[in-house]
Amino acid sequence: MNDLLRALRAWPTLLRVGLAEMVAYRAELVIWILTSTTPLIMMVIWSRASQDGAVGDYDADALARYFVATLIVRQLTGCWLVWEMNQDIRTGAFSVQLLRPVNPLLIHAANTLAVIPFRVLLLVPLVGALLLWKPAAADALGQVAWLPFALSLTAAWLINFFVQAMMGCLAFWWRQSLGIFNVWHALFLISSGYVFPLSLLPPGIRGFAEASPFAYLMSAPVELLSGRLQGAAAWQAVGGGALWALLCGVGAAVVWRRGVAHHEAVGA
Amino acid sequence: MNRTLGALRAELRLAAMTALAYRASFFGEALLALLTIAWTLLPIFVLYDQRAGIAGWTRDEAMLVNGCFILLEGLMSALIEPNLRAVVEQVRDGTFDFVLMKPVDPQLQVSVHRTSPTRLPHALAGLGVVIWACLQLPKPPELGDIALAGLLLGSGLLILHALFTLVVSTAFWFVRVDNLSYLLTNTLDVGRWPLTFYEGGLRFFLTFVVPIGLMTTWPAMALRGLLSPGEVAMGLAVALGFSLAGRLAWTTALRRYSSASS
Repeated sequence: MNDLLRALRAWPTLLRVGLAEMVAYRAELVIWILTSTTPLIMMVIWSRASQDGAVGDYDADALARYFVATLIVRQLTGCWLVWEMNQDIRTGAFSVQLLRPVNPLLIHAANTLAVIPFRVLLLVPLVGALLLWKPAAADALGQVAWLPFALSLTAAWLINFFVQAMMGCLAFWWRQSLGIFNVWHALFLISSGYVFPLSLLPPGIRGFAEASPFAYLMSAPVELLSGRLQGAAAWQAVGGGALWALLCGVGAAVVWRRGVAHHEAVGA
Repeated sequence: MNRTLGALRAELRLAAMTALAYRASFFGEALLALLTIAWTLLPIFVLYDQRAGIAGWTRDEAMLVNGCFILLEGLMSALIEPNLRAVVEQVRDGTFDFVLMKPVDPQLQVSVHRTSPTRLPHALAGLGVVIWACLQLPKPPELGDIALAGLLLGSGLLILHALFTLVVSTAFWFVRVDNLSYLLTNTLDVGRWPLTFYEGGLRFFLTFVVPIGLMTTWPAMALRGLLSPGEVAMGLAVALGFSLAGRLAWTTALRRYSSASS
């Protein structure tokens, strides 16, 4: 309990430090952020495919809305924890972080949050340009259930962070755990709704995808932001996200505790 | 010349031996590559579940493009990416000086010395997809078409090498450019889809400026028998131009490089 209080007190400072670091490495940051271009490609591909009529239950406007939302959700929930942990654990930099009186994961969380203003800064012109190209993408903004969207987005952020923490911790045993993360990412691409709406999947795979955490990483907040989920369905999406966030959080805590106990620092 | 060839052979043998030393990891990675590839083909099935043809491409023809993409991606991550990414590291920690001291052309040296054959199964899987898609075509490609496609894939590899060289050459100024190479590999993803899916300026950009379409769509068109030898010659010319630009950037960068120890 004491630890948590201390962390909470340090939190504003941590955020400020994170922000300062972001400003210092802004050029590098812009490039990292630009690597998430997949929604743009998919938007072009699907808009070409929808030129001669609706695709499943999505017409051209709905597809445009969907992929603009995908771009936004991807940027706001993005995180680089698994790469940073892999590098820090291998080089020994992580041992220094462990010496600090605040849990390193909380520091990483603060850094990840501190990037968000920059991501927004980059998103605004990008989304603006997309809306000029497809004005219809903004049509459904009136129907968006904003509170469920915000909650679902938070859940997606947490799931992503916890999963990356879990996989990052595997590097305590293996030194290198990016291989397994790449498998996770390949699964994510198809079953999260990142490259096409889940309702276009064949029924069997669709059932798996919709129950999986992947759907709550992307599909749920995206469908909320594109105004497709209302009322009970919206809250159901929030509930599923919260459940997976909780499960992943518990998983991350367990793996973290065992990993740190197992960790023999490089040079120690 | 003989010395250069000898050095090249030694480097490649070393790379193969390193790969063989980690056999378990090799088979693990091969298996993983197959699974991921099967998975990345799913979007094509989903897309063509809705339409019989899009922008002049049927499902199997689009699969041909995707196969060419996977093949090039595998070759790139075996032959190009690890080598040129290592340069960035060497510049940062100063070991690049050892490369410069050896009496073999530095560009040649860095282009082979971290070759990782473990990624070749990925390329083979891509070749498998291409062959599978060819067998589905209404008219199987003739020998001449296959030769043209091979030429275009080869020039695609040259262009990739040149693009990576251009990025890495900036390492001598900026030191940290690993993110640029990530950006490059991510941008290449547009090559999964036939060029005609993109319109107007974007298509021009992808044909001539960052010729990703040329690397994947053109070989597929050659296999479909849609390309004339003249167009293939144009593709080769673009590849040659890129290679020269890469070479120029590299030599300029080396001339400016003041080494880590001086």
